[in-house]
Amino acid sequence: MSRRELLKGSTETLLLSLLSEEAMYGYRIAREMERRSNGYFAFKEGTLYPALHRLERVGMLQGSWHENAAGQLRRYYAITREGREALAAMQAEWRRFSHAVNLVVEPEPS
Amino acid sequence: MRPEARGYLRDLARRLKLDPARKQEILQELEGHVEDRAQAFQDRGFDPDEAMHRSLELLGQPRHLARQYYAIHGLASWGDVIISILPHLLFAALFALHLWSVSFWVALFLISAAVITVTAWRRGQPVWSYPWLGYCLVAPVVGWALALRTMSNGIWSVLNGEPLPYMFLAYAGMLVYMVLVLALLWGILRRVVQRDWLYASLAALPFPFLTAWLIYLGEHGGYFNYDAGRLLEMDGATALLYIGLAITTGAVYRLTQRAFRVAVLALATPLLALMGALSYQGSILSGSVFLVLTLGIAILALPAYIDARLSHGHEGEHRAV
Repeated sequence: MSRRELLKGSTETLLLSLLSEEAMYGYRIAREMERRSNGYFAFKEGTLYPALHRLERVGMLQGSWHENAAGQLRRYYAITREGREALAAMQAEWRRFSHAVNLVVEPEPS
Repeated sequence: MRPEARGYLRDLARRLKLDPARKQEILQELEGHVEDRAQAFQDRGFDPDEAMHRSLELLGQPRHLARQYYAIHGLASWGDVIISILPHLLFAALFALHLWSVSFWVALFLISAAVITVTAWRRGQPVWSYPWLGYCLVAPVVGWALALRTMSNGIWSVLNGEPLPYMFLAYAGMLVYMVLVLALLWGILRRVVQRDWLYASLAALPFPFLTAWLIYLGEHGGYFNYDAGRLLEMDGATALLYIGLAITTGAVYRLTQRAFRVAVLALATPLLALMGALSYQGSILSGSVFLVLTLGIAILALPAYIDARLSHGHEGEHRAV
């Protein structure tokens, strides 16, 4: 499976995880994602904003306009209570999934 | 902002068929993003034009971006869908209950549609308001058609050397009324098309069906002197047509892909128009059937054409600047 396909299935989890720490605006999210994953997750920015809007539409994120450190007006996204609940469920599922994948892909030598 | 970014955002704005406030917010957000991204490229040594070009490339084609936003924000809630199909269902009920011949109920329906539309538009044109808008315009459009017929009769009398059937002032008043209604319709059409031509088509959806019915009514004695037996027999079929319009409207509002919405409207409108015209006239060779069918297709196509013309005009203006 390509990196792009893997990322597509995990976009919501990654975004909610990042925003569970602090509210951020789109460009900072993209930059932060790249930095933390050592460049592995390079979001195609044309999919980042629609993903943020989709999460906001279903009530997992809340967007609002604030000035950034440079005094420019940017739209910040903050995780909501529904978003945190969904993230907890996604993280639990991810742990089960990655554990199961590891058991098959990298079996412990018997 | 650099010209390439301005052109990109303008192209995106033209393709974003969303409510103006949402559209503005999306454009402002993306403008901030490309500024930040371009600055980061400049910090890495790219010249300003190249930096902006690369940041726009990362954002992708405006067409793809617009499609993704439309799938998220273009979808109406079930509440909106119910309110949007309500005028068609109420109009169907006027026929199903044979109430169309009672002026009180017709007037109550049309006045309610006008009040609901004006109130909704003052609160920012919610998506459900467009089908109501169509019924709100029924009275002025029918009035316009009646004025046109009276004017034509008057002109015909003068050409035949006969006196005018009504006072000259009445004709002058009718002419002013017709011009005002046309100006009003053009203003409304332009405003709706600027948001999304699909909504203009949805607003105009009842008109081919109403025309078919009015032609039929005219052939059976008119509103105040109709042949009740024959006409009331058609009420069931008429009610079903408006239920068909309600289903079409609901389907258009609930589909997320714009192409599917256009396809539903493109298939359902001529089909329902043909069914309606055949119910009334009974023959596909009838001139009225042809007229109503053509009107049905024009209803769908005209707003799309105006949208294309308006966009073309704006592009021309920007080029000139």
